[in-house]
Amino acid sequence: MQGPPRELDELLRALTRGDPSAVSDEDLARIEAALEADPGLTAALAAEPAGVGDPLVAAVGGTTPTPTAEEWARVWDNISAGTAAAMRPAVARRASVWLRLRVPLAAAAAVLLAIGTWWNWERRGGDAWEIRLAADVEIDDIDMQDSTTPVVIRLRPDGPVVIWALADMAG
Amino acid sequence: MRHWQTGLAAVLAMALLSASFGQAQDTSKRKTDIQVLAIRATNKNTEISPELKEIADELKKQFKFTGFKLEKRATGSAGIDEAFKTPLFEGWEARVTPKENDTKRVKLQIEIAKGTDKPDSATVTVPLGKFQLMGGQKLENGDSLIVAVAGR
Amino acid sequence: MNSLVRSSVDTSELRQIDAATRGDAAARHALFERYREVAYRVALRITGRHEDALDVVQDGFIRAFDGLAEFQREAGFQTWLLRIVSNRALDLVRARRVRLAVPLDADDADGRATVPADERSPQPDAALEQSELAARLRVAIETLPPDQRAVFALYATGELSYGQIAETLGIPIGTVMSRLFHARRRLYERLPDLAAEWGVETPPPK
Repeated sequence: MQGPPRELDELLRALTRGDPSAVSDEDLARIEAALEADPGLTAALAAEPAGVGDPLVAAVGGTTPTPTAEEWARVWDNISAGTAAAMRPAVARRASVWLRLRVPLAAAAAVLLAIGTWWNWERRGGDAWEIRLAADVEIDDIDMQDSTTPVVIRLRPDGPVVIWALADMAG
Repeated sequence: MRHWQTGLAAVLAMALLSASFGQAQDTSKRKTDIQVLAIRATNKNTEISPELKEIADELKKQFKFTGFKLEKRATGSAGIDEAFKTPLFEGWEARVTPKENDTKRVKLQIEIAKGTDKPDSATVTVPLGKFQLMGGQKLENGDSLIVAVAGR
Repeated sequence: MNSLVRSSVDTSELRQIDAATRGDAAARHALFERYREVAYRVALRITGRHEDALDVVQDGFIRAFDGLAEFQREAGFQTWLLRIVSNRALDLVRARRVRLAVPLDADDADGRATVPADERSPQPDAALEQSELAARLRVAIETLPPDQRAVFALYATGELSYGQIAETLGIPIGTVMSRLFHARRRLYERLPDLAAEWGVETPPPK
């Protein structure tokens, strides 16, 4: 299998090396486009360990404090107390409500309504609400209740995402 | 059918046809058509509504849910910064507000709320007619709510 | 580009996850001990505060265990946990309306972020230098916008692949690379002396 073009390969190496001056904004756009177009390239990059040999990572790691044993014990005690599966009682579903139409008037109106609806439907491209998930999604903002943590879960690489509200179930 | 009923039906139809034609002429103010699917996701059964087969196959890649039921499908339209509201089930409501709409993509604010609680909200930009999933809200028997929203 | 095989979740962890899903305390504790450090490092780099990081880790594990029944375990517990931890930490930062420990215009003449006096403690020189470096890194990381900060926090653990970072945050891998690029450039602009020391050339500030 051929690798990526040499120049692109060099750009990717500079990018993963963490050398800001070696990659321009235009280079970055090229890299992003190449990754989007080439699943093999994406897979190869995905497997690369991140941060290896980066002095910034070493500095951050070297200056990270370590919680004490007592602190970890306190955290674990709180976790143990907090994880209680909340079994919610079953509630009877409400019966559906059906709207009854008066037959004589409704029959005529329905036919003419159907003509108008069909015409409008055709203008809008038909009932083409084919249920297909969006893959190219930009998430502009997420704002949830205070007791909820939003997580974005990609269902498959470069595929659709689901925005999931993870609620606090404790107590 | 009595004559007055026929006449009333004809007037009603003409009004509807006029509105349809009128909407077609004024494309600059054309509203965004919106569809909302309200889905019950469960691990208590393996029933999957036929319309949800593709969504179910995708969700099963990351979730343990085995059953997906289409509880409601609502279609409507709204102008920019106007909210399309639709009740879902079990007291949940969805509000979809178009923010931008061009020839290829649409930006939608999706809100899911129950009663007067603060809604869970997300604003996404997606291709026209393609559905975005949002969910995780707990239903009364422990199942989960998933809402799929599309605009075009 | 080296082609490394992405490590898959081992079967012993899958068994642990299954047991943890059923509420097995020993299995849950084993997962806690295995992943608490990396969760803490991510939370600390996003929140910038030790106690906040511990709270986020605690909350993250609670939610991760509670959510096990819904999510497939093949992606591994680490991805699932860090997904929650990074989002929870970002929520906390947004809610806290983070203010920089040092206002931007309080930088010294060379544009370096200075360390406020109360960050220092009476320590031997090496330890003092280390704590000053820690404070400068923290301040610099806190200038990153949230999306860059999350990517950098995961990157800086040194334990994840680019693919795992993408999966944790639910973003394309190209977006990971882009945010990381901008984050590192911004950090080196804030820490030019370190960049020079490490032989990293920085482009002129915009």
